[in-house]
Amino acid sequence: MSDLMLVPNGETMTAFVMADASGKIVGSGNIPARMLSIQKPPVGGSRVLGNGTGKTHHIADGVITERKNNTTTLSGMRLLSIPNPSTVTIDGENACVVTDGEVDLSFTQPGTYTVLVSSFPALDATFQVTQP
Amino acid sequence: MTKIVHDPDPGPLRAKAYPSVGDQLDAIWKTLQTLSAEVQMPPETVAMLEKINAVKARYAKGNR
Repeated sequence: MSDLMLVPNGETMTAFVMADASGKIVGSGNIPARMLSIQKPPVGGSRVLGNGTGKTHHIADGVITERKNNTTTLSGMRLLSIPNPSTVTIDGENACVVTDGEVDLSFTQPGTYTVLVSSFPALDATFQVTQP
Repeated sequence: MTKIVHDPDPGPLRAKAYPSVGDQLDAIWKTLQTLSAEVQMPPETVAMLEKINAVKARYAKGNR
C-alpha cells in the first residue's frame, strides 16, 4: 500500500507509525497530512511516515524495518538457539530473562502450556509444550 | 543452561478438568436414591429427592 492516498474530498492521507524509545511500534494511523503534526509520539519515541505494525516491524535508525526471525527452536522440553537476551514466559507467567541461549523446561502439573520467547527486535516465538 | 520450573496453581486446572456440576449432582442424587432404600435420610434431603424425581418423571427420557 502506498504511504499516500487521496480521499474523495481531495485531501491527501498519510500513513504513519508511532514508536517508543526502544523502537517498538505502539500505534499507527492513516490521517490527513495536515493533522500529522498533532500526533505526538511517546516520550523519547518517534513518529515515522509509512506502514507497519508492531507485530512485524520496528523502528531502526528512524526507518520502518521488518523484525528479524526468532532463532529459537524447541526440542522436547528444551528451548535451543535462543537470542541473548530473551524473556521466556509460560502462559503469560513466570517471566524469566535468559542469557545463555538454552532453557530446560519442566512443569509440576500435566497440561499443554504456551511458551513465549521474546527478544525484541526479533519476532516473538511461540511454542506449545505438553507435559503428559 | 537455564532451568525453568513452571508450578501453576492446580485450583484452576482442576476446575477446568472437573465434570460439570450438573453431572456431579446427578451422580450424587443417584447415590442418595439408592441409599434412601436402606438409610434414614434427613427430611430436607427426602424432599429434594422427591422434587428431583418429579422433574425426571415429568420429562421422561423414554428410550433415549
